[in-house]
Amino acid sequence: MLQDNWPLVLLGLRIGVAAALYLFLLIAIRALRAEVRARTMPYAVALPTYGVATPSASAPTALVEVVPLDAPARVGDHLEVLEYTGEGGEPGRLAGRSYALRGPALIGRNVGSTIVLPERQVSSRHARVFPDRGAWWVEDLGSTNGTYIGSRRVSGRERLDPSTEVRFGPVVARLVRDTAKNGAR
Amino acid sequence: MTALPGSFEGGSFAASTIATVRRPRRYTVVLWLLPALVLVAAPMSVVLTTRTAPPNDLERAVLLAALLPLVTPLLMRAMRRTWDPLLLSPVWMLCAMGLAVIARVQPTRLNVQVLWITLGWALFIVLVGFPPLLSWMRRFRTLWLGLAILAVLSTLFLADDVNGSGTRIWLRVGPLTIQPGEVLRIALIAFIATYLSERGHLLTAARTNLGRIGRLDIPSRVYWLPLLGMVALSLLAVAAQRDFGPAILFVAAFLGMLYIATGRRDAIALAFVGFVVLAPLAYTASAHVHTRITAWIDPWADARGVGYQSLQAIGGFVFGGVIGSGPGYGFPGVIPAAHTDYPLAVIGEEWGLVGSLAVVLLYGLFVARGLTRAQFSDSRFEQYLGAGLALSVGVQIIVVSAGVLRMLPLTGVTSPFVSYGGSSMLMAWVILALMSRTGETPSARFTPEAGDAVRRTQHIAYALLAGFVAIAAGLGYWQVARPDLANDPRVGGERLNLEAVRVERGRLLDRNGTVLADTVLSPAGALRRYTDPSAVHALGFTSPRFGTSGAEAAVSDTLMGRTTTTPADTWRDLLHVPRAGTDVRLTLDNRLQRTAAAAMGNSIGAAVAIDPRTGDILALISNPTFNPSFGEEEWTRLLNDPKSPLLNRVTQGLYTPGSTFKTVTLAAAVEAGLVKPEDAATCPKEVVIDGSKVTSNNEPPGKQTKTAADAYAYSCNTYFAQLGVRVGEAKLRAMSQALGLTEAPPFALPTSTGRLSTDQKFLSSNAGLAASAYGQGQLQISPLELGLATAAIANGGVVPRPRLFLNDPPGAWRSAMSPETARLVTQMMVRGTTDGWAATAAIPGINVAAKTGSAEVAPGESSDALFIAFAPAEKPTIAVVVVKERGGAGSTQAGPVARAIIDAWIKMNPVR
Repeated sequence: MLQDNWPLVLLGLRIGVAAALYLFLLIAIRALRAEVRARTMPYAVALPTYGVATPSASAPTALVEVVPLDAPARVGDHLEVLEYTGEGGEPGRLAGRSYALRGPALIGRNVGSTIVLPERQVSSRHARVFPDRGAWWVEDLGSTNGTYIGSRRVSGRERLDPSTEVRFGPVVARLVRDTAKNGAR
Repeated sequence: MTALPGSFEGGSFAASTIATVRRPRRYTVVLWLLPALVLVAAPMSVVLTTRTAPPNDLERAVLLAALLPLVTPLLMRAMRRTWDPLLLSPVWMLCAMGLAVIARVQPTRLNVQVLWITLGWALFIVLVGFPPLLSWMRRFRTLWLGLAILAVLSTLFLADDVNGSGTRIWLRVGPLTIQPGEVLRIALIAFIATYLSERGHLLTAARTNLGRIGRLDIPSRVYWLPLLGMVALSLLAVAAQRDFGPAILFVAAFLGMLYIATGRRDAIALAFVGFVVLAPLAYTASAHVHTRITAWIDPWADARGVGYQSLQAIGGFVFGGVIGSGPGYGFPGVIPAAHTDYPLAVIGEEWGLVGSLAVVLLYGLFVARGLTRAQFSDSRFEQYLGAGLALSVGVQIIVVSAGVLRMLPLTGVTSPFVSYGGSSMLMAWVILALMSRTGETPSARFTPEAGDAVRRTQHIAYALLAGFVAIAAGLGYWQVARPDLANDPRVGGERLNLEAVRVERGRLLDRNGTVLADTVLSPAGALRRYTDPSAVHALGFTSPRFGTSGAEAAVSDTLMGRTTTTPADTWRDLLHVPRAGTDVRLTLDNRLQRTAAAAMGNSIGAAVAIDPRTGDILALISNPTFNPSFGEEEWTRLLNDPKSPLLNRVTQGLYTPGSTFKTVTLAAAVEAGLVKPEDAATCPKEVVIDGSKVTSNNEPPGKQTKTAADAYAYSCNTYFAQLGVRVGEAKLRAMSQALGLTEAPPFALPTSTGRLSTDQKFLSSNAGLAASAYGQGQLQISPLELGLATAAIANGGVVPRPRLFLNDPPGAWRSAMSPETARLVTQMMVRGTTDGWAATAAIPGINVAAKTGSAEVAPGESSDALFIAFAPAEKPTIAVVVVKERGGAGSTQAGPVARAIIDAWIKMNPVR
């Protein structure tokens, strides 16, 4: 029976190998993409498959586990620049601008920063704002003119509340929380 | 909401409330099982196709290999290491395809390759399970690197030239041969990663003791000298071996890691410039490199020598096409050293673009996975080490694939996991072990510094992606866009030869079924026999070395049974039902062909007989002929012979038509209503047109031109010179075009295009017009074109489409003149044989229509003798053109040949 249809068996084998290769590639590339996405997704980190495996977990372990942070850190949050005085006493150019916060943000004069504040008194890498434990935090990165919450100079990391004003050098800003939607994504 | 599964170090989110989204686990199972299946199926599909004996050790060995991917996750779990299917499974798939290659080209070494894979895997398991692996790599970096450099240098004294290629890069250790260059790569990358993770920030020159050269920031030399020194030392070591493949990988890994760590593009640009400057040194330093570059630039130039390997590999891709020949059915054996240097070409041939693209994608996945693991690692050292290893593997794959695809010169690096080979296989598994150990604890904290490294790793990934896309494009080019190369003897010749033994090439038959060419198969190969040497230009030849020509080329696919017209054919092909060559019937008549050949004798020239009703080529003679079963020496002689025996003079020879062209002028004049046969005419001895003199002393003895018909029959130049001016450029051109004299006729064999003048404005002057009108001037017309024009007059003004194969439907090519014009011209042509110069073709009882031509081609030499004729005039069944180069007068030299052909044909096919 098998011998009679031998060419058919071989053809099946050949198609099977090709199909298996592409099925594998499809699944693997999707999984890889999902993981990279999860890692760069706002408020979420992917739990790695390659943490130290627990004996209780059966092998093979789950491939990708996306773990979004719970509220209240939300997609719609943004950093709004308030009135401030620019160089030579003129009104600052950035006043009224609003920057969406989509994850850890580097603030500075550098073009590579997440939020670019092109003012001379802002250091090239001034501070960073990042989500953790459901809240936003600010950390000064050794800037020349300092980062202030209210009138207090920030040293180390400090929690950022919507009510307080935060100042990067001359630029005064305020965290605005998104109240419309709940949850990430 | 579920609890966070497992613990993981450094996770700052462990304390927060977390919602877990789980991906379905079944995918993981698929990624676990598929590699094992493919590991059995891919080599088995080759083994089962090519084997002649019942199951043997080979097959048991393969089955054993399939157990490895199944137990790997279990073993790793036992060692408390995490199994990453995205990194490991592509490797198994690649090993499977490598086994399929070796099963095909080196079947006896299949179990050896399985052994190498098992050893590599064992090494992997040991290294992965060795807890301080990475910290030892770090701590003893200089020791490793020093030992590796010493090992490389020792090859200068102790090396074995394993494959006789001239590069002495192997060390023999007991039964193993090892390439220290492979070890050096890993040691060097570990060294660079350590250095950059400890002192990389100093190289950014932000706050360090720096100098400036122009716009370049130069950090203090104490920071960069050790790093650069070690890289340079490693490069020198491999350069001393005259092995530049690894050097490329070193440089790429070094620059990539430097970029990720410091983001200094200026340093990379500088290094790139240095590379470009130094690369020519390698070219001059080593004859080996020199040969490879010569073979790369133009492998066709020395197709049997240095270019051979590359061209045979390209042939593999071309023959494979999209779906491939099927495992076991290709001819990868013709590629020298395919199992080490060209596995991709073997996969491309047997598995098609489907398979070769899958291999490239698998490599891409592997490299991408390595990079993401490195990217998100929480330790700088691991970030750099992982990225450096992934990058060097990626560059290695791009370089070797580009070499196989002739996009770059061949560099002599192997394809990891696929190539046959000991040390490269082992070192690939070591790299895999190191990559598995990087990124085990990914960073949870997103610091700006880490963000920079992540972004720069992304840039590296994009650069590699571009390389992989280029490779995929290269595969597409050879496998899809260049099917024409299959018939290039230098590319596809060897395979065609092998295929010819597998398939009995169909016979070529004449219109009555007489065999013109057949094939005798013997174990030594296929021998093609030709029965009629005079038909060589119509039949052509088929040679694995020198290609195919003539009818052999035109219907090659049919003769080889390669025409898949129905789905059933395709299905049979897929099942590898042996194909049978199909016989092809030509329009030639063997008896007429032999008559024509005898009539032409040894005269250099051409003769063609056409059935004016159907366009059938009944006989085709081009002298001198040649022996179609020529060998190497004779081929060279044929190519250099000043008489051009290989040229098909009927279809591709261009001749001055001489007085035969008066027929065209006459047809144009009759069509325009300027001339009737009975119109009064004279033939002056001399006329001057536009200041140029035309003479005529053509009248046969005792004859005098009284009518237009006389002028044509007696071939009066002065009359036709004047007639040409009366007809005018536009009408003469129009008639020539209508007869197809200025176009390449649509034909199965290559045809030349005739022309009225070489100089665009030649016909605009009356002098040029006059000279052309009687067949001189700058006219250049092929015998086939002339024959079709003659056939058109015979066929009531319709030019038939010439055909060589009886299976092609007969048809009209174009309409040239009204039937009335054709009738009048025929009438005058008949006059030529009854009362004119063409009388040499007269046949008693038959009305033959004909015109002579004696074309002056070189002053002081004999003219070319031409003759056009058809018969019987009332209901023509044959039209003939005869050309004898330097033959003399058309009437006496070419006329009798035409007569013999027509006579034979009419005797064979009596007029009913």
